[in-house]
Amino acid sequence: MNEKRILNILSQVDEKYIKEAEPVIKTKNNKIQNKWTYIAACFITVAILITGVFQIGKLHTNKDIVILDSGEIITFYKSYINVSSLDANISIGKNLTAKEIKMLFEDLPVTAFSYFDSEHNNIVGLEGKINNIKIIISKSGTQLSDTEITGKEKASTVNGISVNAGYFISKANSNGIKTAIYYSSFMLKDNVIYLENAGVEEDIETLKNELAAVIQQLIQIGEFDLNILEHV
Amino acid sequence: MDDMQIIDLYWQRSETAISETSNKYGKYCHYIAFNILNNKEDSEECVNDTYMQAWNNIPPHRPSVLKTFLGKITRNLALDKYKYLTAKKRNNGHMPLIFEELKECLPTLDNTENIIDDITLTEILNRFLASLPAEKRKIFMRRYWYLSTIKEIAADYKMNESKIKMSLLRSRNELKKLLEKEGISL
Repeated sequence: MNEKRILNILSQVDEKYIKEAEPVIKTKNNKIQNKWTYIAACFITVAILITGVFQIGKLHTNKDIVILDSGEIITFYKSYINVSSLDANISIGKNLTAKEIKMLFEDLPVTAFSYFDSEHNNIVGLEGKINNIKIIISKSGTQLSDTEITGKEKASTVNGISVNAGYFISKANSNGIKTAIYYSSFMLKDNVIYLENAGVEEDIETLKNELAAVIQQLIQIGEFDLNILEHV
Repeated sequence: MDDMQIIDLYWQRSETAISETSNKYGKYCHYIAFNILNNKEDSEECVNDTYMQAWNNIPPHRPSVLKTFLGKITRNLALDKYKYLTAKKRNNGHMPLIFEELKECLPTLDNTENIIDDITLTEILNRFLASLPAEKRKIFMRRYWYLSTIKEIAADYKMNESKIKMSLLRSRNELKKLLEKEGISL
């Protein structure tokens, strides 16, 4: 009953949001236009692919490093962010309790919620924040992150753990501001840890150092047993 | 013909207003109705009722955006008709799935003393929408305002279906959190 109320009240929301999301209603003219758009897109794709072949070499020369207190080095490779496929049968569990956070992350300032497999009710991961850093932990074989790193060449090693790291800098927005995203993924036992720290390009030193510190702390904490998390 | 001219036709009580509205916004209204009713004839009836309501409301009303004005009428009429048809077990569209999804937004608070009125809930929904990044907001509105299918949203936004589902899942979770933070029940 209440979900029907939400649906009905949505009719009254600000018109700018309704207008903003307007669908493009397909007509015959659209279809003809789409055909030509498709043909044009094919030519553009070929052009991009040809250009890309020459760009790949440049990407591999772009890297950024952080030296940890232990002397180990994390190398962030300039990369692409790709949209990846996400598992569909996932439902959100509940926010983690202080006790659960303490058990999993010790004293790290984490806020997070859990994900469950909606078919079998098994825990499949969690998503949250450590200060400004996004964290997604997923059981191996489950895809919870909608981004993936491509373009990396070599993994760094921290305390014996293989760590993939990369960064991406967006084009300038209308105010001339570029966004930098530093991210990393690594495996701890059967869990995949994905971390992401984003901010303005001017703050890249802070972004990568914060991220490197969290990578180190998580690896020191070690393996996470997500099975301690309770379902709703 | 631009919207101001069509609205003027309504004010002049010219029946051409209906045909001009139909030419310009018939498909848009039909799209909304069909997403809810999943039946061509029922949707056409609903769109015709939309023109009738527009005729009855203009004047005195002078909508600032004719398209969304008509869309709102169609949506409300189609939801009413859906309720009627569901009672007669005559609908097999994707609406039950949408209701299931929206259930996830409901606060888990047991706070029957704090049931909010429609105006406050609208204000909260506006605040929630304003807080979302544009793309996430558009996806949310396409699903729960236009009642579009996941497949169609994915095609329109050039994303895969699982990404759309995940975006909606996160938005619903954020809405739930906001409602719980406000300490309200529905």
